Amino acid sequence: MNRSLTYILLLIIVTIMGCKPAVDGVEDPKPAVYYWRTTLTLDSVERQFLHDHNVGKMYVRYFDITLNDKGQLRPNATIAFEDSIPTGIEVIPTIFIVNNCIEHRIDTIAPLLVQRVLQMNETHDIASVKEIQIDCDWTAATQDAYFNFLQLIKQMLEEKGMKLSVTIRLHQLAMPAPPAHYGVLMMYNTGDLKNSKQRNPILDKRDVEPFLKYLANYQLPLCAAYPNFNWQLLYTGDKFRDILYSEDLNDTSLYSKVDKDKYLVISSIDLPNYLSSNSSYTYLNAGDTVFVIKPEAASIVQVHDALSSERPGINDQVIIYSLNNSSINNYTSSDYEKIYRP
Amino acid sequence: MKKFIALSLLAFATLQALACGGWVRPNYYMFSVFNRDLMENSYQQEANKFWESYVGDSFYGYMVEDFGNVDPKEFDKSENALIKAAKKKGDTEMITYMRLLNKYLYNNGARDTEWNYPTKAQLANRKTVISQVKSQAMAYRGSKLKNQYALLVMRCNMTQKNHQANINYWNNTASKLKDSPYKNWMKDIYAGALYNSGQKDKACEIYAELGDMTSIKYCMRKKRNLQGIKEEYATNPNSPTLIFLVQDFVNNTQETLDNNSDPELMKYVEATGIYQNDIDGFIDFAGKVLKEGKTKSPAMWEAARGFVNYMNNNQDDAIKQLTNAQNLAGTQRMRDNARACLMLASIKSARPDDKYFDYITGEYKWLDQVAGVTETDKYGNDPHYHDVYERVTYDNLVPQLFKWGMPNAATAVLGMADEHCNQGEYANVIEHFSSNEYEEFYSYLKNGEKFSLEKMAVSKINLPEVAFNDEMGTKLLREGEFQAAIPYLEKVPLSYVQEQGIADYMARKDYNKEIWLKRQFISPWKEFETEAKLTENAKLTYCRDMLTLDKEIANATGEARNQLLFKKANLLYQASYKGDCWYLTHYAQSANDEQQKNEYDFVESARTLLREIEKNTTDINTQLKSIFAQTFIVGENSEYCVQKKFDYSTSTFENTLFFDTPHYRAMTLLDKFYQDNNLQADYMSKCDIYKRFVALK
Repeated sequence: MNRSLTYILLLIIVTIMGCKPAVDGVEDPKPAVYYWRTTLTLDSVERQFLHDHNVGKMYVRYFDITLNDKGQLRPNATIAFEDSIPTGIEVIPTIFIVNNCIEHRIDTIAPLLVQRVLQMNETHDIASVKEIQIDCDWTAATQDAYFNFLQLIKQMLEEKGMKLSVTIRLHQLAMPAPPAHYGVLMMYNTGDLKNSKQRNPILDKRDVEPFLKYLANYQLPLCAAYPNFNWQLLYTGDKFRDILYSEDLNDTSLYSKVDKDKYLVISSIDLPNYLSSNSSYTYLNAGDTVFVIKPEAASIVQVHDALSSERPGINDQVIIYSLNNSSINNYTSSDYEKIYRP
Repeated sequence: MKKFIALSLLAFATLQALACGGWVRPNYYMFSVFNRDLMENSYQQEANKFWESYVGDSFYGYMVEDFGNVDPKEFDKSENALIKAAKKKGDTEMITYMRLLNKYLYNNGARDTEWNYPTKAQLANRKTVISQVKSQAMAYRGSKLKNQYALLVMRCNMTQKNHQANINYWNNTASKLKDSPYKNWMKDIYAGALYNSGQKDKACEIYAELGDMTSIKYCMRKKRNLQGIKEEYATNPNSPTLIFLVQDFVNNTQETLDNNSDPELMKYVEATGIYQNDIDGFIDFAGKVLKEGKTKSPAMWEAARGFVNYMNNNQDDAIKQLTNAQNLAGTQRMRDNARACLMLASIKSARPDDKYFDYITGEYKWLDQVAGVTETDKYGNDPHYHDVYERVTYDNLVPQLFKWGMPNAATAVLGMADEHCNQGEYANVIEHFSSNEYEEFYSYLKNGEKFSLEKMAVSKINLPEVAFNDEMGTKLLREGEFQAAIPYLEKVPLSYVQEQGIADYMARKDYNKEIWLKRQFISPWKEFETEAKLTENAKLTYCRDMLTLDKEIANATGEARNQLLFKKANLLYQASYKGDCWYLTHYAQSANDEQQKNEYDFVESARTLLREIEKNTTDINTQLKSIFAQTFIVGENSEYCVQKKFDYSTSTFENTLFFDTPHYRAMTLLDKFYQDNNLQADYMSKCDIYKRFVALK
């Protein structure tokens, strides 16, 4: 076959692919939440939220996969089940894989991962699990190994009558769709933390817009996940330093509120560091500034609607990240209803 | 005086160069009222000491970890060193205990990072096993392992998250047991139970009392500031947490003032910034604490404000308070701490007289004592006073002695300190001395010292005559003073040279070989497998050869003279820091070496001779060789114009010609001369660089 004929054929294939209508939304859509803590306990506020918004699915992080000191792939931070999940809510076990694991023969752990999840379900009486979700910030460099790994998992799950879903980050929309039954488009952490003063790094429509063009023809059923959390960003001068976790900024012996959502550190302290992979501390020096940021509900709704107009059906199922007492009150019940609507 | 100043500047420059060379002495904290190593240790390590003595010399820490992974069903067949040691001793009581401990360790859930997740039955079984282990541990009625069994009970309670049971067990049973690392471990678990039951302050007090500074640091993470100190003091003026908080505050003040609170550096050293208002506030607050008289540790508070005053340049207050602190109530460590801080602070305002040197000499003797500096205990368990020694000496006293115009005393003190700290700074200063400076220092060591400090320092320096002669001869050779070097080198026995690191190079590299025609590369890993015996001290022979050569040159004319000059140019280049025979002028060589201040410029001298030959010779082949040798020197002393570069498009290394280089220009001239005169030379056709140049030009 000569070269020009090959190009013509490729062009035809690309054109056909390009014209192919978007695949459907997810099967059996329900209002959903992510649960991303290491101990499963639900307090009254969280239970009330599940009830009030008719939440039908909980994507529960079961464990992470990381490299241990010996360079072996191992489960880490396994969730401890200390509570029950309200009846009628389907659990989707979710596994977070650190991207640097992919290049360490991730395919070898596919059966171990599936078996471990199934065993956790059995041990803790989590019945009727129909699906597993894999969360990973894969890149072009790790794509082949990751897709191969997903293909293995998908095959194993299908043999058991189960399905596989995956998370999709915005930048991944420009890449081929991974082998899974559907994807969850993560509509959070869309921006650059280091430039958070210009744009909201949790969710800003301006960061989303360049990727909207990929939505219509993305070859994987999609639903969307929206944030309900805030970040406390620590700055020394103009330099971003760290994210604080649920720090009590109303403690007037340590912080002084200088503006709406802006606090001055008035006494040096150290706090556990959540950005670091190993346990360490963040050192807050007197004079540092903490900015509290969260997307306005209206911004989330705006992005929600933009997604719907590009790809109807994507909001048939909405997942809120995440179910957590400290985050729930960032928005009103009415806000949540607007976000949850298809 | 002029000489002294020059010497002082040189030594200063050397010390600073060391700091820039990649290694910078850490900012050692001076204030220490508890052993900072406690931040690293755990009771597990303390308990490991028991196993170490039980198992013997073959013990390693991993054996304890391995013990916890032994499947209880395989216990009797296990090859684990702890189990084997107990069996070998026939220690049935210990074996029974170990069997129980192994059951606990295997079932406490610590192995849950494995892929096999426990089944419901296994989880239930684990709970049952932990309950059984606890019951059996509680049933122990012996005396030998009472502490170990009690600890096992508390560990089981901890696994079961039964914090109240641990509080009760400690109060009723464990607290009454005899003191041991196990008892401290139990008390630590008890503190954890209190912490988890909401009694955080009480827990912190126990952590502080036990010296579990890791837990204290966690508990006190929001109180590492003046406000926190004030709150803790208000709650209990004698709270053990204050020991951690005050030390932490003073150390952080030191870090902030020393590093100008560079956020990245502060984070790296896990320090928090302390700012001027807090510094002033702390000094006032410590004064208030002392005035109130409620503290049982006024020595700590007085020393703390004294040291903060020192850091804050309030020298008079600092001296007064650090002196006073040594006579106040507190632990011995608190008073020692005040004394060490005063030793440092005193340097800033001292006058170089008998009184001061007698004082500082006395303090060094005391520091030796508290640091436990002996040959066998150089790196003892508490390195704090070694840190003090280094900070006082290298960063403060030595620079002060230089400022006072006492360079020999400063060098001697460096020598004394290097005996303890092995930092190599003394050797580095000596290495950079000129022959005159070195001779003067040697004479000072013999009979020049005056003050008590100098006498003490000199007494610690061992500079045998043979070492002096060897170094003096080498220095003179390096300065190009071949005649003067000979008498010193003649006094150095060959056996002394044979013991030096340069001996292997000296035996294998011949300075008579022309370097531009053949490099003498040797691999220390390959060639040094067999020791090379020296037959002569090449330094001495070299000096004699140079003198003979100079005489011959003086008497020669025409082309014969040119050939002798050629020989001399080679000998000069070979002895340079760039030459193959660098061992003639140096004791070590590295790629980063450069021409030193007190070093004859062997390279430039060789180049000058080659230029002279090129200009004067009538033999076109001698002219070619001279240009070739000069081109070699250009390449060796700048960069070669032909280099291998990685080509990303082909993923291979390719030869690349760099036009804008001195070596390119030199090669172009060499090539032109060679081609224009239609010459044939074996060394030209064999020269790889030239061949590559011709291929690429």
